[in-house]
Amino acid sequence: MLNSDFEKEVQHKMEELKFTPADAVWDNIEASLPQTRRRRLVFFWLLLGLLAGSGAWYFIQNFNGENNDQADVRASGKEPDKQAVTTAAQDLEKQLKGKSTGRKSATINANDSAKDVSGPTKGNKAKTIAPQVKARDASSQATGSTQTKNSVGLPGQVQEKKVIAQTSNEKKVAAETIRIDKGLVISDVLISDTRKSGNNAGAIDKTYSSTAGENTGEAIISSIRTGHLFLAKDEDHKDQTAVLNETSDNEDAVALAIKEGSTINAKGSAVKPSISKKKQLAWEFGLYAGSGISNVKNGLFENTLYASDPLNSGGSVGGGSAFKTIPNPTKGFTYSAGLYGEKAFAKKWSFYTGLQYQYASNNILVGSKVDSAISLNFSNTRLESSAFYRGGVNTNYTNHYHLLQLPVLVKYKPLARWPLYLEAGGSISYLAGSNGLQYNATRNAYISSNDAFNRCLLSGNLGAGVKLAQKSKLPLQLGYRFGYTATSLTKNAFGQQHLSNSLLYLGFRLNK
Amino acid sequence: MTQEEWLVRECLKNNRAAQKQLYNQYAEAMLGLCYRYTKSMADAQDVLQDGFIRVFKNLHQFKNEGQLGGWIRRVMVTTALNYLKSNARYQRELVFDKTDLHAVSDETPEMNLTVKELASLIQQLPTGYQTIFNLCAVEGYSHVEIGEMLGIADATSRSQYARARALLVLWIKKNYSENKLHYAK
Repeated sequence: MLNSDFEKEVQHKMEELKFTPADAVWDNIEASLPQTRRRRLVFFWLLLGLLAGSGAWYFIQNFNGENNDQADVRASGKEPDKQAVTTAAQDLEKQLKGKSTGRKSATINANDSAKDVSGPTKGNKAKTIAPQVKARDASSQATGSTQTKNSVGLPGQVQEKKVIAQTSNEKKVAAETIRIDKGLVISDVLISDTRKSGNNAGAIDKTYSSTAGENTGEAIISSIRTGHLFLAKDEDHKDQTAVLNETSDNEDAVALAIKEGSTINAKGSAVKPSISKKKQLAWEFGLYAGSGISNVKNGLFENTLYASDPLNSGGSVGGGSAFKTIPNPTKGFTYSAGLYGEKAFAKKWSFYTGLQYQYASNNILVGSKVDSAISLNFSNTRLESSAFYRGGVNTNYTNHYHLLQLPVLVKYKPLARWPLYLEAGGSISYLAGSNGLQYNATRNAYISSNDAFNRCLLSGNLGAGVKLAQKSKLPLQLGYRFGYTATSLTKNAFGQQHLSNSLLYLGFRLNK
Repeated sequence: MTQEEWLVRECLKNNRAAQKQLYNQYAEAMLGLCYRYTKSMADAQDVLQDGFIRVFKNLHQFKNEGQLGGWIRRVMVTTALNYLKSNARYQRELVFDKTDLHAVSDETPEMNLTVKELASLIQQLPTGYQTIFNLCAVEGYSHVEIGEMLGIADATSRSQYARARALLVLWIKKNYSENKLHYAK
């Protein structure tokens, strides 16, 4: 290597040689880098899509479909689809219309496609009814028919069938539904036939029951009462209690919707339907606590880094005022605690709310602290403080945020037999206080003031969890929740700053 | 933690904004480097692109012991040499004749060229001369190191450098005279 003046001169000059590369260069570099962020986005949208899809599916399956079916049946007596009338269901109808006294046993077993159907018998004799039935024309249902309806399910799902018993004198039919998931055992179903009792819907005119112990593995129908169909208060399947949609004194029959592969037994006693119904609709109250990580960024998919770099800064607002968003924030700690209330409003859906306090934080690098009064102008908004931080990277500063929150969430339980749930919703928050710094590029200074923040914030929440130990004295729920403030933490003059947090939480149910 | 350490840490986490930040910080200077080793701006941008991809892929090897800029510079030089070796157009010219040692001229011409004019002259050297001149005079590698990098004897490197230097000095002097004449007119 030579170190003459010539080489030194060349070296010096060449250090100054700079060219601006074309934008395409970075685009190509970026394309060749791992796309983890995009994958995260895809996951987010998939989760959102799954939630929306499952919600839509549920409503289609459980509200529109059933209501329409009922309306159709009542208006015209026509069958929604022409599947399946079972002799077993006819027997059920016969039971409903023909027998006014005595106790019968009635077992509906959807699992078995080739069912033995025996006529109604007095005493404690079991009867099996198969909803897996053959198709039959609507015209054949003028008298004494039973209709079934198949709803279309997704692959692998249990198919639902509705069995409607109809009277021989062609009176209107009450189409009412029980949903029973595969494998679920229901110990009691209350059914009654009001044809014998007129308008006395509350009376149990008939009771059908099975012999205890007979048909092991099948659930038992205890009785059927028009307008109400009550399932058991089985400890394991409390939340499966069905409530019929309609109560009408003129109804002559009841309808059962049974998912294939499920089993219903009839049992003749120990039915307390009113308690069962109340239990399902009762509020759960409990304590909530969670912790995780939080951060403040310009946007959900933004990464605000150095304020000193115009390419990555938040930019200015209000005609070129020299402010930029807080630079290079890193994640901080967050925790949340409070009370919650939860109430089921459908078999798989529940409403969740509460009142909670949340602490969130993030960290930024700033310069040294100066204990001197300062007044900074941010796009026509002036902030004053008795101290400030200089621009720099030698001090790690933690921004604290204290919030009071009112979450409003909807929970969906996609699987009947698993205590998992998905949740989505939002929350209204009040920012009680913050020491968050705002950066002023003109003075190269950071200043903290509550005046920079919006007090009322709206957030979106998304999460999932599991309910554990529901039989124990202290049932709990364990879950993950992501929250993001849709409205800016800071006022317009300070740019858009949004708080995001991911936390794991634990809920302890206090009432049982 | 310094700003540079923080930036490296974020780049390693595949934080896209941090990677863009690092790119913005060094791209212009590195394009100048690439330009000196190639014959056109398009080729220089190709080298720059490959170089930064290597930087991000191998950033975990940077141990924060030296300057990040120096490490990136070494990656760029290596990328440029690989580019010259793999590109057919340069391969033909990248021949290092084993020649006798030449006495190195100590002549130092008056350097009244602009940065870009000087870079342009270096670019006009035959590829072999250009490469060795850049490695030796600008990057400051020794002939032994250059020999290892290019797979040639250090004596060959010395010889090539002497020729490259002499040629460049000649061009600079010529350029200076022409300019002088031009300004005299």
